[in-house]
Amino acid sequence: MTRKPFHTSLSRRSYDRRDLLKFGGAAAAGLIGAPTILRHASAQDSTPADTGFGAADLSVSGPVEIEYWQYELEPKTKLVNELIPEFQAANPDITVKHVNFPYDDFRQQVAAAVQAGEGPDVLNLYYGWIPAYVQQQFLVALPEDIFPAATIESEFYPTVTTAKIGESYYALPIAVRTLALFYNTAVLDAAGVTPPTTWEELVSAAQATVKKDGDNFDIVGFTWDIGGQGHNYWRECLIRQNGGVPISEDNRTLSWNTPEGVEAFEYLTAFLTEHGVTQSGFQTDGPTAFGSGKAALHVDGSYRIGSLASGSPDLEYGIVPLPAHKEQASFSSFWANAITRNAADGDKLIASAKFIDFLSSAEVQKRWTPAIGELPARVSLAEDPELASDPKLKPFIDSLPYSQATFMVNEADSRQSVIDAFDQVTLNGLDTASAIQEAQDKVQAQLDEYWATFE
Amino acid sequence: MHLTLERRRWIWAYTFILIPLLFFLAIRIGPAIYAFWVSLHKWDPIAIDRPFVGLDNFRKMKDDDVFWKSMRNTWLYVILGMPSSLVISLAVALGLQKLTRYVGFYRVLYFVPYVTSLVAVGWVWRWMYMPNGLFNDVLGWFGIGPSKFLGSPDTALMSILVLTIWQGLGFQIIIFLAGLESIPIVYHEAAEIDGASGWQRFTGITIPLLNPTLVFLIVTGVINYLQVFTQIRAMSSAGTGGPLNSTISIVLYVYQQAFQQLPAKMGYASAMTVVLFLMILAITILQLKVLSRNNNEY
Repeated sequence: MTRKPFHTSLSRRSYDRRDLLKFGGAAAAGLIGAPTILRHASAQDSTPADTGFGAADLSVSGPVEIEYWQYELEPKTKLVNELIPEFQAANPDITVKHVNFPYDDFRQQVAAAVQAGEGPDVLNLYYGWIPAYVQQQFLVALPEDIFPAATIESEFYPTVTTAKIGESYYALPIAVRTLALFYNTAVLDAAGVTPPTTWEELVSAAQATVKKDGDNFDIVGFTWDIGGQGHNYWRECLIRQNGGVPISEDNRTLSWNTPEGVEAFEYLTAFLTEHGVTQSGFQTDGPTAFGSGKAALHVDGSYRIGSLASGSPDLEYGIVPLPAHKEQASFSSFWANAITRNAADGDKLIASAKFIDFLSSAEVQKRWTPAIGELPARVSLAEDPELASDPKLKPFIDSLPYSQATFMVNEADSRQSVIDAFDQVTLNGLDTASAIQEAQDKVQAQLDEYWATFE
Repeated sequence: MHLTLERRRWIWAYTFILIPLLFFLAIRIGPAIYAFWVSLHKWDPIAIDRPFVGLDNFRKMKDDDVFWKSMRNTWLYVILGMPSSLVISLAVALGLQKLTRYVGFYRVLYFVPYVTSLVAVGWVWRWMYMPNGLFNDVLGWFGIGPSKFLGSPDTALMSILVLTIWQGLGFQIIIFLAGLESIPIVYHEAAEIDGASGWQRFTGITIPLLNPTLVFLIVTGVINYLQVFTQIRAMSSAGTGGPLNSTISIVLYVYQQAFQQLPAKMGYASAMTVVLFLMILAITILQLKVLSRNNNEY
């Protein structure tokens, strides 16, 4: 089966846009614009399914160079610099140029490069930016015959489905992250409490550990970190734990302002306004407060292990899964590798697909986790004895089966809207339901606008 | 060909001007004009289409609450910040001028904040503004309860403003000192002999003769305050001009729309910069006309 390469469908864009999504029905679904590579070998079925997608069997027709862009994070760039020679040794015709830039400049750098007609062939990007980049036709779908959706879904954790727009996958992660509860061992021991496992225990543990001198906090029981992970904690963990569903299955409709959502919101704000166990802006932010030993409990991602190891080497802490309520839930997120329209066809597409396949292979994932502190994205590695033996990583890995990523079309605004809702309630005294509704309306309008462009 | 001396001078002068001029045109003027063009489009650098939308981006501002909030905040920065920084720096400059010992030391002391990175300074102040930070400790000594400073929409803008004034003092003091030095001492001596009081000499001699300095500092001060950005990005909660947009400035909002949004709203951001440009242009012309009037020195 030979499908139309991406560049030809670009010239008939209105047609192609519709194709991106399944809403056109079966006829349109048959025309989805995922580029397809003619396979040179049919041996892919004999490749162990879990190690890779078999793109290794493909070959390029001549020497080709691809650019791989990822933001600057020392452990990541270091490991990728080790991996590239290995990949090139196995694929002598392919050269990978590794380009790094500061995280804060991510969107500027990409935009500036594209504006100048340059830019990456393979881009490492945050999952929350995928929908926008797909809408802009900056990303091309991962070739369906190499990366079949069904295989991705059976071998990767469910969180990966946020990289699927319509029928096609647009990116594949090397690793994922989840949220869990960090606790300061010494502070909890001194108060004689064990790490909390339920909502009620979280409140009582925070109350038992807080240390105050008049109005001044010496140690906060639970960090108030809405601008950090707090907004994700409410939207994706607390609402679901309380039996709510923050966004519909088709990623089109938000349900934040529900009894479950309001209750979850009030559960969180009560730490600040009622229990008096925390403070906004304490030690500037949550990670700093926890890292400096001034917080008993703190919700954060697995990547925090690495920064605590370098920033607070003497801190003694443990990690447990998030305290559960009616149900258990956690938030997961990931950085994923995608192919840009610069490599929409020919050898560049093949080389890019092979590189992504290599980066997402079980071998690389296994090395990635201890080096970076991110969790393997492949289900098969959950039981890997080496990874499971790490007591700090284990709670995060255990959280993976019930973790979900929020579908976001405008990550910056989604975050800001939730931060504003908490500020409206805690600083301006607005009632919870109105504050949530305000945030929901704003983000819903963006969702509506987004989906409208595909129709 | 025989060149006169005069002509040769011209050639030299233009040669020296030419390179910086080209650089200036390419780096500053060119992009500024380009921004006008961008402001008329729905401009996302990554998208394939950048449709022309006429004045849509300008119309959009009308209904954008955050834009108006940023406009209001920006003017608060100007109206509260510029005059107070002028008064304080003039007072300090007058004091420094009287000193005869350790003059260099004091000048350095006041100038150091100006040459320090605003991001670094912003972060240090952020720590001092913390609930359990230095400022709240000091308030505690006087029995005043803790203030939220950066954490409350009521006080956040003022908190950032105080840093901004403090940080800019050094520059204004140096300029004021230069202005004060250029006032001939004989005027003061003559007035003193005629029995003028200190205040009379200040209002009758110092202020009028400082007029060029004042005009310069007011014009540059207003422009600086209109473009306030770095300290808000470094100090406001989550770096986004919060809480609840209480500290956001126009430039920060432009930055967010152009670079932090996906898809990037470059057209809308450019439209706002055009508005800011026109505002600065109008105010500067007005200031130069009004403030320099009746002054025949230049």
